Amino acid sequence: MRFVFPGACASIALLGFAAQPPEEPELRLIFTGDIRGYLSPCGCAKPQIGGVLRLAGVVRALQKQPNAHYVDLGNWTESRGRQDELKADSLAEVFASLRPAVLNVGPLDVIRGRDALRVHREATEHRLSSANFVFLDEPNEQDAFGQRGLTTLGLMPDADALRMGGLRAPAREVLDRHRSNRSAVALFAGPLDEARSLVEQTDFSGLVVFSQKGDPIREPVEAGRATLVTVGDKGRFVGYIEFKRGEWHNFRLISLGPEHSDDAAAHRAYHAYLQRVTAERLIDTLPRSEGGDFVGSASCAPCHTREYELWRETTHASALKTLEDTGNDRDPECVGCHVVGLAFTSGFRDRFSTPGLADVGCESCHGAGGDHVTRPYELYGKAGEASCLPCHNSDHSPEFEFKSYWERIKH
Amino acid sequence: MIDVLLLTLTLAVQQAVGPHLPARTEPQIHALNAEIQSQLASGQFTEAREVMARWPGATFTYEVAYERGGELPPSAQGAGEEAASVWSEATNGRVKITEGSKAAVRIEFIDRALPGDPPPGWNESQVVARVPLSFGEPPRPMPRRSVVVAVAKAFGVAMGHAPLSRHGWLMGIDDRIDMVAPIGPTPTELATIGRLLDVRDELEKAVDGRIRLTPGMPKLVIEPSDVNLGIVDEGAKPRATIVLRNDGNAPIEFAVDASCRCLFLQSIAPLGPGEVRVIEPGADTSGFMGKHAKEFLIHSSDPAKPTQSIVLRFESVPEYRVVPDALQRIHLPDDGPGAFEIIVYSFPGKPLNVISATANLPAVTTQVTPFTGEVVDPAFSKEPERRTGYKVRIAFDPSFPSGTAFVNLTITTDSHRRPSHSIVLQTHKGIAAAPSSVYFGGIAGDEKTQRSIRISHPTARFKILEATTEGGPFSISTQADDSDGFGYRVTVTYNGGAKGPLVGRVILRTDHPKYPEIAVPIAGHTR
Repeated sequence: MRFVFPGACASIALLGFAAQPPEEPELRLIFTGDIRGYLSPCGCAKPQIGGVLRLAGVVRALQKQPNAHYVDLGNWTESRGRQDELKADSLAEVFASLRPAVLNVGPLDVIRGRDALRVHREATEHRLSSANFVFLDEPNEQDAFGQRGLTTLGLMPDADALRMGGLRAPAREVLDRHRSNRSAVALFAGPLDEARSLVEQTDFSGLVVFSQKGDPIREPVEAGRATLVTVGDKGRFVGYIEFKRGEWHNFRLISLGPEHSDDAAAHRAYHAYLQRVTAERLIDTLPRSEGGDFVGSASCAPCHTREYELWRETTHASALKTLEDTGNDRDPECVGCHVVGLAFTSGFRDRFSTPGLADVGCESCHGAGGDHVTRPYELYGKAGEASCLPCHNSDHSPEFEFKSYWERIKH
Repeated sequence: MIDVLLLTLTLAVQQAVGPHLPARTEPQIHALNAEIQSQLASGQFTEAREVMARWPGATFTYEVAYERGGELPPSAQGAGEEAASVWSEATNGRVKITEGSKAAVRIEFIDRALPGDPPPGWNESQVVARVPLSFGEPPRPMPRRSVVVAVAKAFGVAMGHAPLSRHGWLMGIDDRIDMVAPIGPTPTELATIGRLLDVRDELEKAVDGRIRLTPGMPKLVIEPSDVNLGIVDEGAKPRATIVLRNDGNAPIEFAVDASCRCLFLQSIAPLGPGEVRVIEPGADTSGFMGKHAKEFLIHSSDPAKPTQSIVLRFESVPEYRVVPDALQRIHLPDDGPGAFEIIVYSFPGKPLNVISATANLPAVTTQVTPFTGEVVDPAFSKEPERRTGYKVRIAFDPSFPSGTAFVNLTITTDSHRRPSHSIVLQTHKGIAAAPSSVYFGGIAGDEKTQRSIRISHPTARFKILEATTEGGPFSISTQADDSDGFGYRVTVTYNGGAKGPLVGRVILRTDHPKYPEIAVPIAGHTR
């Protein structure tokens, strides 16, 4: 027997096992952090996890619930150069579209410079804030953003604030002022050990979102009277937790797998970022070393015909196309692992001027082959597992296991 | 009183110990199992039978609802039947699931996925699964296979299997793309379901036969559950020694998840009552630097704590360090050369040679020389420590361009594991803008929007004589700002009315003889 699903069931809890929650939470906190420049998932692992396009989609969907607030812990990028500046610009745009309650400033954000922080504060409707680090000369930071019942305290480790010349007030003092507020949220862009020590020193009783490199701890950590949670790094998870009857509970980590939709606004911002990366020709600013003479896989074919034919059947032989399909084919962070010799003066430039060096070719593993072509009887090109590891590292290829991967390209 | 205690003790000794559940059992089933066994221990057979009715066994029914009402879309039609046959086939006919009343499982087909795609869960004594019929944006129809998987998953949960594991949901990962593999539980999942059904059957027999049982309650103790492995070489694989003890009266079975692919631990064999076992979980520290805390989740048949954790902490010391490592801002003189120094050091017992240092811009040269001296490396210590390695001196020729620029430097070493290391220097020479462009991003086409930048010189005061913009509906204002060096804050206002890309320039005329005109690009796009 089939029957109509009653419309009232739309109020069933969006998260959690209980189909009908007994009462609405007073607060729903949606949080992200430590994106560290991972705007899109990268690599060979399937399914790929993460990316701001999915992140924004999930946050926006969760925000539709009553009493929901979105915050970010900070550390938008690694702040290593122009590309990270461009990423931060686009992240500011994504964050602005999500209308966060507050965006904390992490130590990595400070490296972008105060001028960049000012611009990103403007671009996010002044939501960028820190309670213990002064990053503007205006008296506009607050240690607590009271917004619809939510108190947030943006913090970074005092040592970082001090090192970067902007310690405003010790984090301990900030937490101490709010120690009895169970619903207060401290965004602490520092590790678990320091977060735990801070709450134990202050008897802070609210929620602490802390910074964690790598995969997140999947359960809340209890320390003193406080509850500590994290989303790990590289934008692979969105965190969610509810405050009800004086307690934080129902913590969830939402893994950003391919089942989540891309967000249209984030897609526009990411697309603009890729356009700027291409327009500013960042790939041409990579340092290139002398050394070796790259000749392309076709030069190997006359003598190593069987190997060459086998290679042509592998995904290595169409590696650049995967980037062209996604618009990342001029992205310096991606291209190095999809072509031959990008770090060398005689290596890949672009598909038109160096077509033979596009894709992962023979010389990607065996080294520059110019000398071998002219002196074929000299020792050349011994390759092994170490040749794979620069690209098949734990970040981009976490499933990599030499034996089984070698079977795919055996020659 | 003592007599009663002795009698109870005697009965407890004589009675068989009740069965235990496997790892990855639903907490709801743990609770039902504990309740039933407690009732069997005290001879409450009628009550136990009532509780047993809330635990779906190998035979149960499901019901289907559709959010929109009316006929189900083709992808959902008969999905319940197909999912039931998946379980029937996988268990050689032991599991029989049919559509009907008094359903143990309620399948609610919904048009759009809920945020987080919550797994099926218990609502009172019924498992409720909300199965979306579309995914993605714009919505695409959910493949038939995914719909059937979702329903089959709900049936598995009803039989007591916890829906989530690190390696995918029950019934395997369903990534909704061109999967052709047949639907079915993995061998491990199937074994878990088999054990769950066996336990239920055993309890049912005890209820029917009015057999008293001593509750089978495994109790797992992990000591220690938080281990500091200390300072280790990056790439090392340190192990901890952990003792597992079963303080309960029934065996414990295990399943392990790790929070990081760097963690390793062999599977743990079942642990009998009173038994103790030493395990040696470890971490592969390759690619890790500094302090880390990584976590194992130990799922077990302990009903009180079905999931416990073991945390391994370590501080990984790499083969070599480059100081400073983060982006560096350096001010170059208007005239004459500039220079910056970087230290590359290795740790005792890890000899290192720096072969070269290469910069990506002309007018930048590098020199590598051996070094021994005091270095402050915040990654390891706030105090200076004596280090041995190399000094890399980066020299900027007077012809190096003014403004801001990023200099990418690659240091090449003889390290096999990390042959090269890149660092970035941001130079500021003369009068320069920060950030180097006025970027509006995506903004509403009809709204006034402001962005500001700072124009500054690190050492010389200057005046802006004229500030103008080119290329769009922009206006501009300037305000002196000597907060860092000497300079101005320049605010560009987009006044609305443009469509599509925003492209323009800020033009600033100054009284500085060397930098009479500064141009800063404007970029963005309107929605």
